[in-house]
Amino acid sequence: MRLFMWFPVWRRNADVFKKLFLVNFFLPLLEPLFYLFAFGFGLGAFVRDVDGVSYKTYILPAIVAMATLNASFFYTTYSSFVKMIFQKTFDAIIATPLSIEDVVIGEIMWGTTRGVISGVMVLLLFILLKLINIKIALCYLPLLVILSFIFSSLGMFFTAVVNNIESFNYPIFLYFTPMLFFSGTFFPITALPAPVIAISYVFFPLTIMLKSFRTFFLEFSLATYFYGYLTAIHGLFFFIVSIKLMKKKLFK
Amino acid sequence: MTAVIKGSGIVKRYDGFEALKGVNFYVKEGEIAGFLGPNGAGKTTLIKLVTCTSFFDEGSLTVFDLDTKHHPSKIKSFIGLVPQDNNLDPDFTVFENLLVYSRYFFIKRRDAERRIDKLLRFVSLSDRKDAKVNDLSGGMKRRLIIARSLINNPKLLILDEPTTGLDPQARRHIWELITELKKGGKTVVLTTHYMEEAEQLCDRIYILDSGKILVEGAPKELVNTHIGHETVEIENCPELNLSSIPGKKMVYKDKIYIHCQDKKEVLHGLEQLCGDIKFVVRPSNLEDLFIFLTGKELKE
Repeated sequence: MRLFMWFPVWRRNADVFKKLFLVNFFLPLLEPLFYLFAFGFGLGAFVRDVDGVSYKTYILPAIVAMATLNASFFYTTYSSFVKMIFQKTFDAIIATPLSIEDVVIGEIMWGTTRGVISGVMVLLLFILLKLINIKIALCYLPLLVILSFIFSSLGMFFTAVVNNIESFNYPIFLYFTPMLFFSGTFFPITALPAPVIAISYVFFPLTIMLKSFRTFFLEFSLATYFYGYLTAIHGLFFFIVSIKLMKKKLFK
Repeated sequence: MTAVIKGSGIVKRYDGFEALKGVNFYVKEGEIAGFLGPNGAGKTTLIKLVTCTSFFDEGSLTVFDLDTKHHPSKIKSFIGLVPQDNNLDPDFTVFENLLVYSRYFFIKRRDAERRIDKLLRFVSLSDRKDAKVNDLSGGMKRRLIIARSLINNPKLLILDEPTTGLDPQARRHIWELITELKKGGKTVVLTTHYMEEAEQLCDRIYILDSGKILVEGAPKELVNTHIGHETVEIENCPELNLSSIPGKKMVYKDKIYIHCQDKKEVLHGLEQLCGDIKFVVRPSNLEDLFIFLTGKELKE
């Protein structure tokens, strides 16, 4: 029983999500489409093949990954923070048999789910547009779960660390935004100076994840595909640390 | 006597500041126990400890004979909490708020729905079942929180300033609900800084100030034993020499309060002192007692 005490928290969030279905579900789907048109078709028309594939094909995995981690990261940062500080929803829940750990795990689990929903929606869209085949999409699925879990946990870590909502600008501009550019999303990081490449591999799990995604378009390597799974270590690390920090923050 | 809550020698520090300085208290089964004190007295801290949402540095605390440090989940399943801040879920309607909350206690949906119907009738919100929480008035929100706190049919109900910020009518409505719940056999812990509320509702009160319990007892008895049941109020003027007047004298702001068991002697003494002195005679109350004990007012 103790192991699944977080489930009512997850379910509460799922209920809210269902209520705002249109806003949550369809509108965010527009962004990947803009990326596809602006970069894939627009910029792609002027760019020669990258790593042996067309530029459009090159950025497809990045678009899926970005949709996923955006949804999970922004859920456990802003949404969780608002619930914790302004709505005092966490206070209401910890007055019941649930503990702070249950609340935090429930939030991270929902953030993960939220990211996976977004990622899968984009994948479905790409399948419909015949840009990606179903088999590859299925191989992406477990990686999307891991990616989403990493950024859900990371978001919760920042939520535990910041003191006010404006302070999210630090992790966003110092970590999140550079990661979106320098982890092989829009161009291979091999074009960058060696120290930047090193930083990218160490601090941005997205770098390894995208390599893992792209192995399907290049010469396939099972080893490269499985490297993606190793990034789960990032997720586990922030999962454990964020629970510890949140407990310290809320249980005074 | 069965004590539902037992606390002894509780010390609670926040970054070096002592919020509770070794308090001893108990709450009996079936009574309404009040914790009275100005803001910052330690009332909410005490409640957080009882509801296992905070820890303390020294002492011991049991609820239903369970140690709060070791059985928080179990203890919380027997408790209903009305917190000081309204923390209803703004994303949900009245009904959904109760349903979602019932899941935190792992109550089955069918049982929960039956219970929600009953609770909404109890707090007179049946016709607002599908209203958004933010469309409710302050009094309605408070009543909904009371309904929410009852979702698990708790044996112990904890109300942290249940009527702060409400108009007199809404306050009376809440008082009626609390009285009704007591009749139904619930043990109630209440914090407030309204003395009329404590006098109306509580069987026994603790008066707190800056982390210490000053006195404990039934409201009327406390007033009677510490300052006497009548108070004569006169305007403060420096020439007045009151040394010949009996009773407990207390100068506060621009008034002199003379607390006594019998007003006759006091009035007689005042008459002899000077003929045309203006005074008011009224029953002593908890506020008088509090000012007498601390030189401060309850409400700030």
